[in-house]
Amino acid sequence: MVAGISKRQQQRNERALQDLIRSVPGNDRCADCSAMNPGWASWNLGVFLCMRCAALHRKMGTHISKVKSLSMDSWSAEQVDEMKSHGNTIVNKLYNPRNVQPPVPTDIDEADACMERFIRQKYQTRTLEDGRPKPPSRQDPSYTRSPGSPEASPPPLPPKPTRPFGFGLRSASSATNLSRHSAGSRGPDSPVSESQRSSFESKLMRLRELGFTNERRNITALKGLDGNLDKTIETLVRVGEGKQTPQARTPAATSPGASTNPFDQLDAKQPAHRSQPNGQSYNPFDMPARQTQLQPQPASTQSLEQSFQHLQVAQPLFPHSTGGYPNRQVSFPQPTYTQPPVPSFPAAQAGLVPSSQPLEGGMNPFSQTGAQPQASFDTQPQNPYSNQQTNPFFSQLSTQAPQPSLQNQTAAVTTAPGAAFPQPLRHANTMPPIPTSPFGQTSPFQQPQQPQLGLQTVQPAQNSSNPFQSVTAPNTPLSGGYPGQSPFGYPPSAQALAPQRSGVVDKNSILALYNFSAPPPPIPEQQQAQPPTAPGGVPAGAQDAQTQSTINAQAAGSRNPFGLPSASSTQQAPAQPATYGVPLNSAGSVANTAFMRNHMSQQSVDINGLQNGRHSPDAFASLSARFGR
Amino acid sequence: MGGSVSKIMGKIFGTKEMRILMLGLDAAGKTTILYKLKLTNQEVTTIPTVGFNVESVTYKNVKFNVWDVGGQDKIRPLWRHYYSGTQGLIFVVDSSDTARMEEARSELHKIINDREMKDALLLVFANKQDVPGHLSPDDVINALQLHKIKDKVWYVAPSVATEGTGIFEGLAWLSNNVKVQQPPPK
Repeated sequence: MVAGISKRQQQRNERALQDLIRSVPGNDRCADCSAMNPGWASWNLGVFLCMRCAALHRKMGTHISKVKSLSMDSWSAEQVDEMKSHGNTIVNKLYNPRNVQPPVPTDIDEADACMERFIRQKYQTRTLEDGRPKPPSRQDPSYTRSPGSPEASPPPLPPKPTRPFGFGLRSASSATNLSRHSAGSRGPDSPVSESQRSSFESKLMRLRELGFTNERRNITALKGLDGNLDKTIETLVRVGEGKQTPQARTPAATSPGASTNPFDQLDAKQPAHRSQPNGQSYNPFDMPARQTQLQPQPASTQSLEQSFQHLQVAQPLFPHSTGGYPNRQVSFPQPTYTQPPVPSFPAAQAGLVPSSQPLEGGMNPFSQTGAQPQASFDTQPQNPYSNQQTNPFFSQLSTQAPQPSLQNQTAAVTTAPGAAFPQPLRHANTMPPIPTSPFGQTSPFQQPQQPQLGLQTVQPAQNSSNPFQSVTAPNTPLSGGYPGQSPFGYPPSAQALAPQRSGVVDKNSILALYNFSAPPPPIPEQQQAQPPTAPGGVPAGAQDAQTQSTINAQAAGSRNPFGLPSASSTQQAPAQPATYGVPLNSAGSVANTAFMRNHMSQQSVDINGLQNGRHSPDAFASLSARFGR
Repeated sequence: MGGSVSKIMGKIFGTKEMRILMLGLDAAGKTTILYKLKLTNQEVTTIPTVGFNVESVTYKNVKFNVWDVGGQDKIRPLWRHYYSGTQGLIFVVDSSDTARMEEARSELHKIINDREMKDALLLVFANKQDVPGHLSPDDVINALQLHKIKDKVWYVAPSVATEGTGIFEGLAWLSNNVKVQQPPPK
């Protein structure tokens, strides 16, 4: 049917489609899950879709949605017109006038099923439309609630479509919870009744006892999670509501500890001040208990404005999620590590110098910039020789290592949601290519996709602080070492978050920066990697020559890692840690355009590092120290 | 040990291998069929195939190496690169997508007119028989103008890929008919 169209016409149509995506607001995102850069479209519905949602549309059948690829299908003029006359915004108004958000999956396996339910509701059963009586059993009371209160606070959880008893097809974990709760308060299969109501009340009471003061949010979250108390608490903590750390889930631990959680500060009007308690989650977004435990002493000050400034910056990072998170949900853990000390850039740079000596966390210039991520790193200069223990990332990597496998099995699309989850997860992603990793094999195949994904999702969010880091972070094989060993591995990368910083590629400034930022070797074997902290760019440059990462190499921008022909693991592996060098250079007043070049040069560094045959985490640590320089 | 036994068994009972190419328009259900063949009792969720999938399925003593190639418009020209050595062509049709039946017909005839495909069996899955408004297998035969095919053994099997209905019947037909053509395995 499309066969008769001339090539020129096809090209014109293609261009028209791309124009539609670019020019019409709303079309630059998946109509269903708001993922950036849709590559697919349903031409009879007139919506642009991401690949995952396109797959689900196809699953519904062509009688509901006729899905085409924007790039792999040829489009007729009529189909393009259809897209023109509809578009995401209009169609969403039609099918989803109340702007119901897709449910947030409680675990990653459920993500697609959740989305499929949502999409079927939207287009097949059309229960999200106005004016249609909804089947009461599927109706979720909080659906009507959520549009009422979108602005006031970050929505706790877009509600799930519930089963008649609320526990229908939940995961096993929630089923166990169910039995526990129901044993306590009510029969497992008692329908909505007085008893359930009272148990709901009691759960609310309990939430209040636990210190979740925001009544409305408690209710919404509790309902959204089918009255599952544990998950509600988890959610509330994640959302940043509670004054609790996850450890404080037992009532005994219910102490109104000083929290620097911005939301708490909002609620309680507390001035921001030092957070003392050990193990108290300093980072309001860092959900997992183990993570907070692993951050030894978050000892730094942080002002309210700063925390919110980070929130702003963090927001554009969200489009990562194909996982159906509306981008207005700012309050998730992930962005914290990439938060830039943007406004305090000079300070941070200057901070590199004094921090060559181990400093008290409080004195650390980085902590003064107030970036939350650095809080955890600040602790490291204090005990540079015990990195292995203090480094939160190592243990996280090990605990989370299984996760990439899940994602590897599914396609690139599903890895995208992973990127939207807490940052540690992203690091977990980076594990596979480490030679000892069982996933090393799959990674070469995965990698061509991932960077692409990252680019797609991040680029449009130009103000997003650090596009390149997030692009490459998911597939950094060596990152197992990078975060911890050198406390300076990060600050520069954080500076990359201000890619807009314009400037000329100034060799001297870069070299100078190399010297300034050279940290004392945290572990002996890093010494060879560290340039002396002597002033003047020469030593650093010389060493660069050794490591094949000369500035000249930077200038030779032809070796685009993404353009690398193929996937020998040694080639690829180096390609990624390079990104941690990028920020550094960018901090050295390198303009945005110079990004890729820096990228290259650092890549060669890693080849060296790999070739020495040492693949223990320590070996990578030394590599990372170099990147951080 | 077990391997040698099965080898002997294979010699006695004639275990065959068959290279199958599965083509069809996009969203016809090729990948779903493939993985339903492979993972019989699991629910299958697929994403649009960019490139190809290949799985080997053993059914009725025949080992089918099934190649499933993406069916988007612009990657159809790549199909021909999979032709050589193909002993069976599975052409999957979305029976409910009547609007594109003509497109499917022209694609099918393009394939079977290729010289490299002249020896291949043709199995057509009239898929998505569960969707309201679907064509019956007979309608599909007419729509695809299969009667016009003179030099080929063909068969239309109704199927519902998502439920796994009918797909093994199709394979059974292939395995039964491959015997006829066993001498010239190319």
